[in-house]
Amino acid sequence: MNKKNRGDETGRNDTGFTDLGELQHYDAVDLSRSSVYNERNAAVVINNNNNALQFRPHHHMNFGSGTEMSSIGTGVDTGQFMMHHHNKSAIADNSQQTDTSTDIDTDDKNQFNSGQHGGQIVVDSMEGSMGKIGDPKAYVQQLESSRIKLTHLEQELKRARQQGMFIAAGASGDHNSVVGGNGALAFDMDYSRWLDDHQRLINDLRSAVNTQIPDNELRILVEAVMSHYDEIFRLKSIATKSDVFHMLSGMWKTPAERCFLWIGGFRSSEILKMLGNHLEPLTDQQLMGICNLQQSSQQAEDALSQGMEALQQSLVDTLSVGFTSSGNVGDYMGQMAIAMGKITTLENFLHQADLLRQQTLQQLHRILTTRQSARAFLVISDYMSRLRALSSLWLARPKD
Amino acid sequence: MHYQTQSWSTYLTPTTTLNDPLHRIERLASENAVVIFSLSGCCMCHAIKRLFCGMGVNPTVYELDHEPLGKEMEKALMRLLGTGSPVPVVFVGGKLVGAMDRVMGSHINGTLVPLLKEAGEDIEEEEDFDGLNVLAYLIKYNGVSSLPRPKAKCCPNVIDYSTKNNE
Repeated sequence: MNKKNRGDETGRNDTGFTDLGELQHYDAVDLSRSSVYNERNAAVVINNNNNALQFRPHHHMNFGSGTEMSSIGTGVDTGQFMMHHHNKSAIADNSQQTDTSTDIDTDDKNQFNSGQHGGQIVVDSMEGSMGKIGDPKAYVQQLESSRIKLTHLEQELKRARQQGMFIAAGASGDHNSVVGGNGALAFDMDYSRWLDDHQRLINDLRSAVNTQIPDNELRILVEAVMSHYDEIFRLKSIATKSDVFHMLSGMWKTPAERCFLWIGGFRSSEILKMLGNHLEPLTDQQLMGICNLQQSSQQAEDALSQGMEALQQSLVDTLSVGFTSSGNVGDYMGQMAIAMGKITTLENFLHQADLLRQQTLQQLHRILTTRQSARAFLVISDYMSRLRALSSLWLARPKD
Repeated sequence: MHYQTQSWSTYLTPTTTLNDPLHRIERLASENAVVIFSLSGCCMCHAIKRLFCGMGVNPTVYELDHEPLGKEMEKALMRLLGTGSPVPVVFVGGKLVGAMDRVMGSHINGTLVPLLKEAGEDIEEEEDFDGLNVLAYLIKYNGVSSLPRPKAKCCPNVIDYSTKNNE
């Protein structure tokens, strides 16, 4: 008997994926024939226990035999199939499949698009809801419509990601391979958390500046903001080693911020220029310090930009070798190996760019007094949040 | 151009030190004010060269893949720095500054330019700040989105950032 109502299981509407219920009762479906699915090369595992949508890579498993097909659950909302009875042996088969899927999962961590294997959906149907398949043709039709729904979901997901929304991947303890530690999604979530903490610190700083608290107390708050900046650079450094292209893309920032992106982050010289008028009054020595800082950060940025241009050109050159049809595999692999090495250099450039940003902030903090630093951090933070607000307004604009 | 004549080894035995990569590095480093050890394909080395050119400095560059003892010098530099990448490495006035992160860091915190001046390089820098000078400086750096870059492959010795037009 089908214990749970399908409606209850799609409680996870905050992700926006309300069509989940349709897919829940399939245990193992081979969609390798789906061309779209092959591109993604991932397995969608729908765990009824915590109503979370999880993506794990999956090796191709063959479920060709007729008897196995008959044990697959069919509870789909078309009214065509009825849940006749609980097939105990099928439950056992089911849990076996579940176990296998978990084992394979540990081999491929964190790789949504990895693997050269055909895509596959494995549904951990913990309650083992199944019944006999009445009509094979209609069943296949059901598979097809579910495949279409899945494609649609994937497109939604892609679109949502591109719009800078954060998808909560509903992590439970043992699914850290998707969320925790490293990787693009993990960094996105870390950044979101960092931003919340940052806003809180800035609000504290703002009220402190407005209430004119003594300098030594203000210094504590300013130091807190400074070390919080160190924290994001630390997180970026870890994420860069894991996914340099994601960090270079700036997809974790809002669209307007991304417009001003320079090697995976803000331009120090721009920030200093923006600060320029808001720091007065400055002593002559401070003014000299700020001007020199602006000049040296500009020079460093130019140098790194030129290095990046050279790197991109050399990457193009590497990938442009030998387009003739008689090129052998050895040459191809050799060129690919060289190209891979250049991506390591790309990581290095991103690391240097982040260092530049961090060191500029630190030097600024060194030059200014406590009160001036507080004001500077407030201005920088307000500027960034205005960019984010602009992005939100733009995304919410009425489209005609 | 002045440079510090700091001799690291007061007595050179012809055969033993001639093939020692570290000694060769030290000797080359002490011969010029700014010495960069590089590899010809290395893009980070390109960036560091552009950094010095952008400051108006003309560094002496040794491409280790074209140097005799190049491979050994690379290994020696890796040991010296303690990092994975042997290049780029910068010496100023015969003293080791470091790899890209150190060089950039010292430029940002203001210690690189004094070091360069000490080594005899002519660096354009604001020295006195009277009102008119400050105004000129601010106009120049707030109105310009990027500093002029030398177009030639080998950079000229001095880039003209002349601000002395208000005298």
